[in-house]
Amino acid sequence: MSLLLYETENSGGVPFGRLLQAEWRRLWKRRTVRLMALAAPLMALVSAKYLLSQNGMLHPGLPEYATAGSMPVLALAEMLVTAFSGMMLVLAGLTVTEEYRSGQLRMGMLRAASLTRIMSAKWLVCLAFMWIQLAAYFVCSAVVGRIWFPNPDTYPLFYEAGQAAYAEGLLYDLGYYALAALVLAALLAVFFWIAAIGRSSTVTLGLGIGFLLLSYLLPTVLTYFRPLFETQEYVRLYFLSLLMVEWEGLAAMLANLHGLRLWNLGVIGGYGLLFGAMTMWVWKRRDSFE
Amino acid sequence: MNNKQTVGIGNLIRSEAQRVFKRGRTWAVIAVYLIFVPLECLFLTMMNTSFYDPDHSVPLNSLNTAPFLLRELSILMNFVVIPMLAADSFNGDVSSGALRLALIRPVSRVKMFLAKWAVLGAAVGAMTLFTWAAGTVFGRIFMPAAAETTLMGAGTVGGLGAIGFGLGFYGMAFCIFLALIGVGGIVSRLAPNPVLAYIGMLAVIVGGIYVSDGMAFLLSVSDSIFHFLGHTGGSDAYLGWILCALLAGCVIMGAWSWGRREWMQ
Repeated sequence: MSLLLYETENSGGVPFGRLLQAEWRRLWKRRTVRLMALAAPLMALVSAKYLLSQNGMLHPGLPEYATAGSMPVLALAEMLVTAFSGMMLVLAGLTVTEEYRSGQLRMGMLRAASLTRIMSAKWLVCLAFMWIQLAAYFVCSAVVGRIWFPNPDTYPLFYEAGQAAYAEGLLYDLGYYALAALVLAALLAVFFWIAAIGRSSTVTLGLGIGFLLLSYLLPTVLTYFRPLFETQEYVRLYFLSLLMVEWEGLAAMLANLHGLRLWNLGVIGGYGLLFGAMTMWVWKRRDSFE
Repeated sequence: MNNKQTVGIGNLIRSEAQRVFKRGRTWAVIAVYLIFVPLECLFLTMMNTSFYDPDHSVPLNSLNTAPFLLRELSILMNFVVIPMLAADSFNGDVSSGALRLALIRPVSRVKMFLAKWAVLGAAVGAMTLFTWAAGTVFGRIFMPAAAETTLMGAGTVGGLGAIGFGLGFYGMAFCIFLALIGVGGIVSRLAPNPVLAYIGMLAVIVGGIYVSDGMAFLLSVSDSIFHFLGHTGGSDAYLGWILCALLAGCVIMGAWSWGRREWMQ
């Protein structure tokens, strides 16, 4: 009986939990990744320096004026499109393209595990790493904000979403970071697709940066054609770009500006599903011993 | 007796050029850049306006169009083309071990570094020259005709003056690209794999503005050159000197660090 049970359990190859565990260890074996894990406090300090210099030029009544409560959001808005994207590109380039193209992956495939399952495990592990980074960044920027930034009784939120005291502000920040976590998952799916089709790690990075540049460029070009559209249509087209959702869309979602909350969620989900499915398809078709 | 024991720089450049242009992705990235040049031209015809910097717009005509092609194309150049080529050439060869085969002959490592720089410089230089030529020809044919035009830094100029200004502008841009390739050589020396070399170069470009406003020219190539040529003062006034210092620094640092490289690690 027990033997039978053992066999049915094992019929699908290596259990997914074991794959996750193995990938998690493999990830942390890299010196690059361990160094990257230290990035959160550094990034928080860099943004604090930048935001303090910006504060000197802004009126304290503006939502862009950084206070102890709004510091985590303001600090994330710029880092999400630069540093976090960069880290994810490094992860995708190293764990997918590099391992696959250099043949290291074959060692892991001595046991019966399909490429699709390995890649799913890699995606989950990289996402877990990014979410830990995000959480660490939240804690660091909240602490830095509390120490160095003014803490008024209430401060305005973005897009006229009302006034917030410090405690409410932190809740708002948490919501913002939760949405950011979703966008990171979608963007990581995009990068994993790029890493799957990239012939070498430099190509992966070039394509990834190209994707980010295009995601920035197309909405910028769209602003020239603003008079041609209704506001509703315009903002929807504008936030079709994942980068713009990251940059300005998250605050708009929290304020539910022009009904963008559902739309942006749809965009994020759409990117995730589309690129996730395309990645799966690539790995399904591909021979392990190319 | 004149049979020297080391390999000449000419042969090194030739062999490096063969390696660089043997890679499919070199051609791919060049092709992508060449596709974006006419797209940029199309974009400029649609807009009919471009910018010296975010605060100063300028109407385009048949003479002044050429420099403005670089406003968007330099971003593609600095963020995709040069980092890809440099990471592959300076780091990919080494970390994959392919370069060892080339180094079986007694090759000076410093010359190797300089040969790589020269080959990438020639490739990027050809692309820059092509952009200038495309911009000039395109402006003459498709933009509203003008007998003379006013350019920031050159005053009012005629046809020949505009061509001269364009050449000078693209010459400066080429020097910036060369400096970035040199930076790539040094970053690649430190990074253990091409991925980190690529990201390291981006970190230098973006991180430069956190160090000093004088380093912003790697990010905003055309704005900085206009400021420099137009003598508008500010942080770009010393662009010429900063560039010279950066180029010299890259040559010295690169030659020193590549000369000390241990190949059998």
